[in-house]
Amino acid sequence: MVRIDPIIVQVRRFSRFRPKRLIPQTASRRLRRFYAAARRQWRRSLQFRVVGITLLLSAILVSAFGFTVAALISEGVLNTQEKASKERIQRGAGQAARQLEGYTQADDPGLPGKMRVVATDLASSMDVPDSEVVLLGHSPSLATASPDTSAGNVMQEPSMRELRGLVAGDRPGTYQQIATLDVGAGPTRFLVVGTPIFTGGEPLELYYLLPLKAENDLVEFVALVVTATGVALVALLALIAAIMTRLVVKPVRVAARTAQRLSAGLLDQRMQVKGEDDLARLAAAFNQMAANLQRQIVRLEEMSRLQRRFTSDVSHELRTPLTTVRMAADLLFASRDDFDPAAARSAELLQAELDRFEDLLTDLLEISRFDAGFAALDAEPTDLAPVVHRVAERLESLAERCGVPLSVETPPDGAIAEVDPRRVERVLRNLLGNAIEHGEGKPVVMTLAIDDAAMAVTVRDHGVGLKTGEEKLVFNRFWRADPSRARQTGGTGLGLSISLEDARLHGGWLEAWGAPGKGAQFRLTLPVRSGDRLVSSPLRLVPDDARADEAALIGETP
Amino acid sequence: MTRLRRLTAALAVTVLLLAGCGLPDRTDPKYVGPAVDPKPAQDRAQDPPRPDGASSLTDLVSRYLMTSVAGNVTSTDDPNAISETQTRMKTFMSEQAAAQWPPRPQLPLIVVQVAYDKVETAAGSDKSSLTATFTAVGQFDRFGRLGEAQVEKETWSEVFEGELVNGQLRLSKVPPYMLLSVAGLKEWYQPQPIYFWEKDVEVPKLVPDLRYMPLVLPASKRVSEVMRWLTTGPSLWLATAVTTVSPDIETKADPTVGPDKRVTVNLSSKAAGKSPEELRKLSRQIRWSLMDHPPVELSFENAKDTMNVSDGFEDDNAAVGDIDQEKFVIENEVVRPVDMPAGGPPELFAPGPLNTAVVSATIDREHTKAALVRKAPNNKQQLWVSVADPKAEPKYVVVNEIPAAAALSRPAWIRRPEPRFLVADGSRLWAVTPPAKAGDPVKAEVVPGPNETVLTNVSAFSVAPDGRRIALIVDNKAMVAALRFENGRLSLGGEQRLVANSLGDNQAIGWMTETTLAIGGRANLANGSYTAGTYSLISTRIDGTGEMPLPLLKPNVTGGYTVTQLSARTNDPTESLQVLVLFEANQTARVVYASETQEINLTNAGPSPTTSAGQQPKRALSPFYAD
Repeated sequence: MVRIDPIIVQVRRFSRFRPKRLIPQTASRRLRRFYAAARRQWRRSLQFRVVGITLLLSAILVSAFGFTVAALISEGVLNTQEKASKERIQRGAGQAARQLEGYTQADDPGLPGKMRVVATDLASSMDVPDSEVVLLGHSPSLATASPDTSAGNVMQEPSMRELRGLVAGDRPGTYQQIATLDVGAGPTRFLVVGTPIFTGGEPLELYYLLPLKAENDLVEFVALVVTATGVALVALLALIAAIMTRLVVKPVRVAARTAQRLSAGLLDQRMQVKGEDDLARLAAAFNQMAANLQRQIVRLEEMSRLQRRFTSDVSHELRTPLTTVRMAADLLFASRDDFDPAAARSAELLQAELDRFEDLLTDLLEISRFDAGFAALDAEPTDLAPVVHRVAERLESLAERCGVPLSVETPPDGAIAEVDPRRVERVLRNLLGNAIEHGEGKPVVMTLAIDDAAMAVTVRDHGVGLKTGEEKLVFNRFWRADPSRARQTGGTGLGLSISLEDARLHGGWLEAWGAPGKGAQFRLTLPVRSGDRLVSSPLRLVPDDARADEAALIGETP
Repeated sequence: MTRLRRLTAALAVTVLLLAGCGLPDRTDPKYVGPAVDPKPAQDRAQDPPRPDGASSLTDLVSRYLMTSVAGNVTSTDDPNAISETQTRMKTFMSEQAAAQWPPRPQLPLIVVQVAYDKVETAAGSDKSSLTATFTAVGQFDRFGRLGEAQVEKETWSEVFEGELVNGQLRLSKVPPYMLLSVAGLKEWYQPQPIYFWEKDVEVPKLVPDLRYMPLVLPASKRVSEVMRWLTTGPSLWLATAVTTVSPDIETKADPTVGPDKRVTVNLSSKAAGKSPEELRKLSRQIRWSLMDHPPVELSFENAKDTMNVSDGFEDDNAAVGDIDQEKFVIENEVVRPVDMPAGGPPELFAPGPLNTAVVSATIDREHTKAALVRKAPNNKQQLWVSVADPKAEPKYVVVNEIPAAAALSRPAWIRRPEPRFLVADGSRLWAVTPPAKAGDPVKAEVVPGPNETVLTNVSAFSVAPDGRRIALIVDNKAMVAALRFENGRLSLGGEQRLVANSLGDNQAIGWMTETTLAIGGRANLANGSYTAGTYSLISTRIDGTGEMPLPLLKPNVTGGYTVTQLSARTNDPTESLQVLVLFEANQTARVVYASETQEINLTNAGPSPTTSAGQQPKRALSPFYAD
């Protein structure tokens, strides 16, 4: 037994009767493509926009003007015909009244015949071809028309009742209306004019049916001419707009190309200045701007060259005496056992301070390279897990000395990213060193994580933490949270600044979080592929334990 | 709204705009102007008859006999002043003739029929002469009244002489009085009745008094003329039936006619003291008396504030209202409607013992009162009138006060001044009051002539809708007289006016309009035989002018008839003219149309009381409209 689900059957039945698309799919696709291309062109081309707007506005204006002209002509033609028809029917009514004088009774047996004669006379004197004269009495039998007798039937149709009611009603007078009637030659537009004829008793009604074919042809011809003229005018206007726009857009394009070349480094590119108009002034201003830029750039290049030279010179000049002093200091340090305690101490201090000076000099040179824009990134695919472990091993002894338990968490499969390993190591060394130094003897955890787009390393300590706002300040040069704090690792105050620059050089982030008494966490996030834009980090900046504490504080689940 | 939709909307509007060009397929009816007035008010103030361009002496004389139009109108300030008319008449004359022509003031204006002889030209001279034969028709007085001409002979001849003066033909000899041809009367005067309130009734209506307005007067002057006529009073023959305008009603200045044709009549302060009802009646009386009855406002001492109480003026004329055209005839001596309705005839004309041997009859429009003239023994006729209850039996009682006569006229029911029947017995006119309720007797009394004289030889009559004017056939002549109503009695007014006409004799009469009678009788036979061009049925104004044979378009069809009975329905003066005339001639009831008369065809939507199946109906006789 086969069970047929009625619902399914119904759905299928309805789906069979899905309405057909109004536009075929291929055409729809083509339209969409065309529209997309047009939109693109609209966004990119000023000339296209100007021509398009000109086309649209002129089309609307010309259409409105054309409609007004056509409507005025139509109204004028109609008014002329209406005025003429009013005079015609009033003459006709006077003639009819004179001919029907004496026929004062509606049941006069001679009246129908006389009406036919009157209608024929009036029709023969009409100067409008294909017009009809209809004479009607109060009873349906009193109806006559000329030359086409069926016109009388047409006037007795319900559609003409309103006009007839007015003509012979409480306010009898001459009335007219346009109506489409079929008197035997197909539906034709007529101007129907009617007036009563008072012969005694109930009045007769005289109607002229005047075809409006000639007027309609004229109006349609005018509309056609206006439309064709309008279309041609709009096209011409669009063409003129295109030509005019091109005159303006061309120099702008030249300016754009020149600007592009300028920005590409061809600083001697200039626009041609022709004449004294706005475009010439634009070109002149552009050229002046280019000259100023060129001068500035040359000056900056010179300054940069001087800067580099200064850095190199300073490096060399400072290093040279430093090396000599270093050698002397090393000698003294090596022979400190032979000195008296004060001299031996001085030799130790000298050695230590020379180390610091050297580090400071190195950092200064490094930061000046960043400032001058000479820092270069040597990115290469690097497994960061060993880098992290190496940094931790190197600072193990410091951690032991500070009594800080140190742990490292890395992904089991490694974390390969395109980075400059030297710089990354320096950053991590700096972060871990700071964490150990500020850890207050509490555990420090270094975590590495990676995803498809980014890698991140966090260094978490549970030391004094940072006050609100200090998470931005920590990266300032020579900033110290507590100036009285001793530098255990001999830091220069530029470490985090240099780390920040290193992170930025990679296109990455270096951020800090801290809370007083809760410690701090620093997070380095770098793109996996050099040059990619970071949008997220695989590790949270705010550590989980700190989030849990905050949630507990406000009663939320973290 | 996204840019795309804006663009699409703009394009759609563009397309629609273009598509909307062209004539519409249909529009609503639109008013473009008034209907053509079949009889537009004529204003010929700028177009008086002139002598220039006259092609012959006959042409010049015929124009001259028209140019005296308004010769009866004199200045209100100085009735003796030489009128513009006389000045104009002199332009037709040579200098010498004009100097000699006696332009006496107050010259009567005599209306004449004219017949011209051949023009005779003296040999070798530019002078010519023309003999014209005049037949007096009437005479105009200063108040637009056309009365009997005061002439020595009814017909006379005059010689006109003409000569060339500066290349233009001028009259060198003219009769020493003012003449107006009938053609001039027709072309240059417009019959214009003025109205006076009837007297001796509780709810008076207006009664028309026929006057003639010269068309050379401009609109405002015509209003002045009407005011002058009204304040002067009615024609003598009507004076016993109507009131005059109070002497306190004086016009302070000429009336003004506004662009909307509204007339403002300036009265003196004496009129301001009149009661509102009197002023209302005055303004409506003036409104009725003006051509086309424009709204009338009264002002006093030229004050800016005016009083407009002339609206509702239609109610003051008994002739206004739907014209009842219900027709009845006598068929096989039984009275019945011409078009028998499905429900049968009115109760009073239902088949019965008294609806037999009927010669003529009448019924009111409400079908509650009827009278029959029935055959009586010895070839006499008697009048029977309906009892109070139309359903009662018998429906009629005989009026014994009226002796059976050889021939009674068709009776008539009048509503005004008091409802009653009238009948003529070939000699006297009787007024019959039917019983008001069961058991009441019928009252019949003779309608006396003026000063209680006895009317004689009255064979037919017709009372106007106002009930104060009666047309009579007396001695086979048509007359009109006023009907007085005093102390509940009808009597004729002081003067009976003959209505002269061209028929051989007059036998039947009816009021076609307020001022026009239909008269039937025998044609005027030349040498005792009928000739082409003879007729026996005419319409004419009550002063005997404007005679036209009926039917209007083919007058000769009645040449062989002898019209013995006639019933006319009086036209509503505010509507177009209808000729509603039924008559009996040569033993056949007929109806008048535009170009023919037709035997009345009887139709039976219900059972005919007169014919049974298979029986051919006899000819209908004695047709009449419900009164």
